[in-house]
Amino acid sequence: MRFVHTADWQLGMTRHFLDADAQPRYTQARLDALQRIAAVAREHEAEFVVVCGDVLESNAVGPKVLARTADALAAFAGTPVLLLPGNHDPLDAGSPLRALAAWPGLGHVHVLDTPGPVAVREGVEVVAAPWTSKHPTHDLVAAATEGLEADGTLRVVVGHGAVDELSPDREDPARIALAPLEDAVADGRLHYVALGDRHSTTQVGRSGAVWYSGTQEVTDRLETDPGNVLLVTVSDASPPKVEPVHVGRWAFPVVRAELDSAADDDALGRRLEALPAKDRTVLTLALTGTLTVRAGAALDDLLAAQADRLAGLQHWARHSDLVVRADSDELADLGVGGYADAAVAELSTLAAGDGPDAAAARDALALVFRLAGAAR
Amino acid sequence: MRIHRLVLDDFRGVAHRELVLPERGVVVLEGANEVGKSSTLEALDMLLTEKHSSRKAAVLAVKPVHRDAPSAVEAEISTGPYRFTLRKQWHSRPATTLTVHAPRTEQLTGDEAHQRVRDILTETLDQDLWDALRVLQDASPGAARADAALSGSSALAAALDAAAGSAPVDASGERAQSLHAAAAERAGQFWTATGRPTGRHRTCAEELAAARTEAARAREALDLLSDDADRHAELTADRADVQAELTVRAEEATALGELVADLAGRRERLAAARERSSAAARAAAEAQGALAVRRREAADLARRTAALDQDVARAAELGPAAEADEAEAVAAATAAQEHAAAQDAAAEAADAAHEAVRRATDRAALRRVRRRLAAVAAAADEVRTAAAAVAGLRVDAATVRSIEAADDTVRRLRARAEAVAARVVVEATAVEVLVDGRPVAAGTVAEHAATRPLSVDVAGFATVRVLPGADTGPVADELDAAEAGLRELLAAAGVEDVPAARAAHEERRAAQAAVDLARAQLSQLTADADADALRAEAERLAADLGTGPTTGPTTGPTTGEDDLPALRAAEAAAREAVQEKRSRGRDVQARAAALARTADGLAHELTALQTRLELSRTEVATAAERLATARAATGDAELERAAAETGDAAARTDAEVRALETDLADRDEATVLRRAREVQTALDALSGRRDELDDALVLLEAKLSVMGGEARQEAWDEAESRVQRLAEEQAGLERRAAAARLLLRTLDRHRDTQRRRYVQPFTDRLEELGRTVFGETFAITLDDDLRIVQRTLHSRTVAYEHLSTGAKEQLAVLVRLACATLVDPADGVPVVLDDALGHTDPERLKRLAAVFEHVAPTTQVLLLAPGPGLHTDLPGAVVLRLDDGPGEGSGPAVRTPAAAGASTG
Repeated sequence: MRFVHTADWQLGMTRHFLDADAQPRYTQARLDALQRIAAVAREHEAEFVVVCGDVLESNAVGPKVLARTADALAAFAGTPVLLLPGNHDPLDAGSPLRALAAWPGLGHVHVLDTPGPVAVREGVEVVAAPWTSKHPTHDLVAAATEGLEADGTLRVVVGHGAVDELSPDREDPARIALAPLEDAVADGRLHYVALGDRHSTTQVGRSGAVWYSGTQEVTDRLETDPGNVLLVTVSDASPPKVEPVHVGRWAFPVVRAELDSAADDDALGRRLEALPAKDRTVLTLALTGTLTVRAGAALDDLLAAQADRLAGLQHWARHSDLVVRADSDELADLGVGGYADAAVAELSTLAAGDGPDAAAARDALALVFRLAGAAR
Repeated sequence: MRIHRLVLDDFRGVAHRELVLPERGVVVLEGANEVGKSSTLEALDMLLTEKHSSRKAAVLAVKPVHRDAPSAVEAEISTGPYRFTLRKQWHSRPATTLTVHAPRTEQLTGDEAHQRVRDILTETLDQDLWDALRVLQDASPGAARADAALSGSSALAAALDAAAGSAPVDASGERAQSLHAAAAERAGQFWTATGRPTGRHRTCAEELAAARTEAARAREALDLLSDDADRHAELTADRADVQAELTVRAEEATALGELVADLAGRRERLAAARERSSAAARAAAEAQGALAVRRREAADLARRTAALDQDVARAAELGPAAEADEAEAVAAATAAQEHAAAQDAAAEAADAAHEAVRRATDRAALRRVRRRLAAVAAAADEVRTAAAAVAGLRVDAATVRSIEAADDTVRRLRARAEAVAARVVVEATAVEVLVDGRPVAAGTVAEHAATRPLSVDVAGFATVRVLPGADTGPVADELDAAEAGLRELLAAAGVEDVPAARAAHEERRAAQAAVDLARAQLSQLTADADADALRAEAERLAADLGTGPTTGPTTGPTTGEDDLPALRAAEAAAREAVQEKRSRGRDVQARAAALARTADGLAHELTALQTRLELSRTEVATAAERLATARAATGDAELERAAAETGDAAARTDAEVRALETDLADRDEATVLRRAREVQTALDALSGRRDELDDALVLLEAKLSVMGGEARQEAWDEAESRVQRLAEEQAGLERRAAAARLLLRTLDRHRDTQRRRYVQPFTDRLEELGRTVFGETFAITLDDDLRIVQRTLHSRTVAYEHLSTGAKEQLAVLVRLACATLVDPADGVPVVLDDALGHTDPERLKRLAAVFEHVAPTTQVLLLAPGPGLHTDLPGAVVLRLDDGPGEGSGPAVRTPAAAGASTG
């Protein structure tokens, strides 16, 4: 029995670091990924698709997002799509999921609105652990799987949330206890646990049957290996076979570089130049090192040029430590002359120090370079 | 810049003028006012700045007034590496021709030529310095500061740099300036002059604030939606709880309902039993009542019969007693009447005795009054008698006093007359002698005073006449008159002589005293009542007594005196008798009344008794008849039996009721009912609560449905994205703004420091030149902008504004010359002084000339002067004389001062 495991579509998501131009493209990309998931399902003759929570970014997404989601879901026609309400879109009174399932032409789309097993076909059950509020007070998966017997039925648990092994929050009453699930798998009561919440494709536990599929399209630079869906093959006898299939098109890479010379600038320039699909790339830079004012100005120019081409460019402040220093030769070369030389010297001293104006002084020096350059 | 040659054609009043100027040294353009010295400079400016096509008013104004000819200016100028000849013609056939001679030859015309020259000048000419080193006539030293615009000159700045030894003598100062300008422009993009954010720096901050507000609002809207969803979940849970409770309560209510129905059945049975019980009780009561009536009626008849018998006996007793009482009462009434008559008689006797006493008293009073009246009459008679006696006696006290006075006068006069009269002494010896007819007996002697003629007759013998002397006569006459007066008085008084008068007077006084005494007596008698009153009293008393008249001499009692004490005793005795009779009379009457009442009472009782007897007899008869009739209908025994039977029935039903009541009480009906009510109330409340929850849920669902369609998530996401973008932009802007500001401030500070260093060399040069003019005590103070603050001379310091016009113009010239000597000759521009020393005295002019001499070797100085003055003391100066005469235009008039002196001489 084969099915597709995906989660955390979070349709309607906005990334604040994307500008007005990039955001619509990104939004579209997240929707477009659904087409590819549908293609994967068809291609591998998956019996159904489970979406393990957070189908929507929020219950408050507007009609436009819903309409476009419905359109995207239409691509799955012929393959049942089981939507699990997650923490972003809990099945409360404001949930648009039911409306989505009732959309004309989406007869293959179902909302897993009741905790517990539901038969997909003879001998195959999906055990749903839907979220009905944003703050569940117990382990929903444990509750949904309670009392199930090893009776030969193939069971796929569909849940959402952090498992206790991964969650640092011991006080969270909704943490999913992993060990009982693994026991159940070992006992043959359960056969696969499909989870949502982590955006990175992650296997947890030792059974090989408990997985987070990750989000279909990257959402954060911290994610490792996002943009996958899992093609899962379950049989009564053997552990499940899990194959990640990449469907994402965007990348949020982090580029770390130590810059100490104009040559380093150039090297970085080449690295950035080599980045593929810049319009689908949100770059995070973590730059360290010490640059001359001139090299610093050159870096600024370089980054300004790349920023225009990338979907987004961010500096990772916590991992950045780039110092721009003015050295005397450089200033002499600049040769602004007269009293300006003395002024530049003063700014250099200021920039080299760690006073409150040091940063402004470095910027002022860079400005001198730019203005003097323009003046010549 | 150097000007080598300047040609004017038809420029204002100048028809043609050509000036050829030496490359350095002082050139004096000398000419009378209005000859067009200033036009020369104006022409140069116009050539360099105005296109030949210009229609500016300033350009049109230079057209000559009297001739219709185009104006043209041509100049040969070297500046920087360039040397060129430029000619422009305005007004008609305008044209520009430029020939660049060096560094390589160029030939240009029209606007191209104009632009080329502008480029060359921009490249090589320090315009600030060019403007600064001119002192024009119309810009009088008083109006514009002598040192204006110097600090802006980059050539000067470079020269000062060099002098200060602080920087290489190259274009660095200029580059610093241009960096400063760029920095200022850059800062201006972010900050206003007063240091407030401007441009994008400002609008971005404002947009960010607005975006944050919007994001907060969107977030709130989103939270509201989420809260409502939570609330919906809560209410749904509440509703389930309420429903469960409702079910439990409904079951309880059903069980209680059955209990209540059972109780109601029992209560109905009780009610029926009570109905029966009360009917039985009523029947029993009726039978008992009938029996009681029968018994009462029988008893009543017996009692009435007994009472009737009693009354009959009493009536028989009362009859004789009443008769006896009647007789006794009649006797007592008679006795009372007799006693009353005796009492009246005693009263009459008492009244008579009282009258007798009164009359006796009145009589006594009448007697007293009459006696007193008599005494009054006697006193009145006495008064009358005494008054009559007084009236008869005329000599009163006054009469006596006048008589005695007259008598004294006579005696006094007589004495005097006798004293003066002759004394006649007659001694009758033998015969009688008559003296004045009065005999003097013989043997006696008579002595007379001869106051009057006196005759002495001696019995026939002789008559002797004695005649008084002459002085005796008047006295005698006076005496005679006095004696006659006395006699008249006496006669009037009716007395003989003076003693008689005195006696008469005494008699009258005694009579008057008697009158007074009598009046006093009368007055005393009538003090409390006068005679009339006394008479009226007497008349009243007499009338009361019925006696005779009240007047008349009835002084004594007409009857014997009454015995008043006896009469009074009789009266008292009579009154006592009356008192005694009255007292006795009351007892008698009381007894009579009491007896009468007793008799009456008995009579009444008897009458009433007899009446009652009649009635009672009738009643007794009737009652007896009625009882007999009733007994005939229902016998007494029958009544007794009925009462007993109904009583038993009532007791039975009552017991039945009590049994039912006890049963109900045991079942605690009240508690059951209360519980049923409570359960129903709870049910109602729960059902209401469920309905409320349903309503709230419907509302919330509608609200959620509406809000769900509002894309609040996207709204918030959009707003938040905008905040993020703007915040990033703002951070960048702030960073750049801070950098720009820091750069500009740092540059400003260093420029100021630099400028302060300029000041010293400039001051040194200015003072050096100034000492030549003003002497060794000259000192000057400049500010950072190279402007003169104050001047010191002979240790006296004067602020620039307070200097004289002459001093100011001299300083203006000195500043320019100092500046000119500081500037590198390659950067230098001509110093132009147009009639600049009009207020300077010859001595100073001579000293200034020395300064010019100092400057001349390096600088081109153009000095415009109206006539020989300063320049006459300038050795080596070239004098160009400008004349409007026909001679001008033939060529430059180049002269040495000596030559000029010769030409003017």
